[in-house]
Amino acid sequence: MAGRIPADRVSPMIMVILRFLLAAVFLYAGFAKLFDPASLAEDILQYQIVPESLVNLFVLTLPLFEIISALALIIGPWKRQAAFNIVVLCVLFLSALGYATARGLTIECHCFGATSGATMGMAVVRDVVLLIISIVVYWKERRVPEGGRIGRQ
Amino acid sequence: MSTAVWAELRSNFVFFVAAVLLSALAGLGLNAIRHPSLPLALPQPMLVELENALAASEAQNAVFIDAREAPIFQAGHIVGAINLPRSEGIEGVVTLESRLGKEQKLLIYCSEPECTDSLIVARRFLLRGFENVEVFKGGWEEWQAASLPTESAP
Repeated sequence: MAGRIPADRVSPMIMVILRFLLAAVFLYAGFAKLFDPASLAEDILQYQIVPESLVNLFVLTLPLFEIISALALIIGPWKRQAAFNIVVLCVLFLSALGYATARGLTIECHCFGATSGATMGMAVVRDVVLLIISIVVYWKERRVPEGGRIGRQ
Repeated sequence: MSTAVWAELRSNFVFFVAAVLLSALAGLGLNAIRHPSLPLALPQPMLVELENALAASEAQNAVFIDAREAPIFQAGHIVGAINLPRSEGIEGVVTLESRLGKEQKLLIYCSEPECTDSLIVARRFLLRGFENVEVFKGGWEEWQAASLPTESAP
């Protein structure tokens, strides 16, 4: 039928869309935080999970790590490894939110820069969605054949 | 665990470490050309006693910042103090930046010696590049106990 997408092409198309969506979210998050390190340092301090002596180094590294991982998710031969990085980031963010909640801290998540206030509940939902997408992307990019050896990207 | 899985984990780990190192180097480089740059060591404000706070008040060479919440501030505060509660976040500091100038000496206090709001607000100023930030640890409790000048106003 004209205009119909073959069933075996649907999954790869969805994967490309999910990969680009994930990359776009982390590119935006990285650039939003890149130019205001003082605000990010303040936020990280509130979570009380990074030792104070390392907070500023962490703050200078995190936005660029997000940007590099997002770019690698779109271009280059390291899509699978980039997806793994995003999985680690999502787990890190969820752990920070969980730790803050357990300690009774009420913190606005400025995950997309100082002007983007989100409640902790909203941030958890968003991070869980991003974690699921990144796991799916990682799993699909793994390409382990039935025989067990991982193929080239 | 199979060789393929080990290879997978090793490849992920190597890429992760490489991305962290590259990000850290690029971040440090970007910070070196940024003005004001973020100090690598988290800046700590100097703690001052009542006599220092009083001297600064008499000489009028410092701006007092009250880190308590607005209703408490309105009920009574050090003469001339500006209210900047901890809950306002770093946005409050940004608002005051153009009004005060980063060379201005600031003396920040909260309710009593054990409160930490003054330290948190002071650190925000330091992170934004303010150079002369001090915390009056005794705070409102000590100032009031010494019967020093106060005012109550919105």
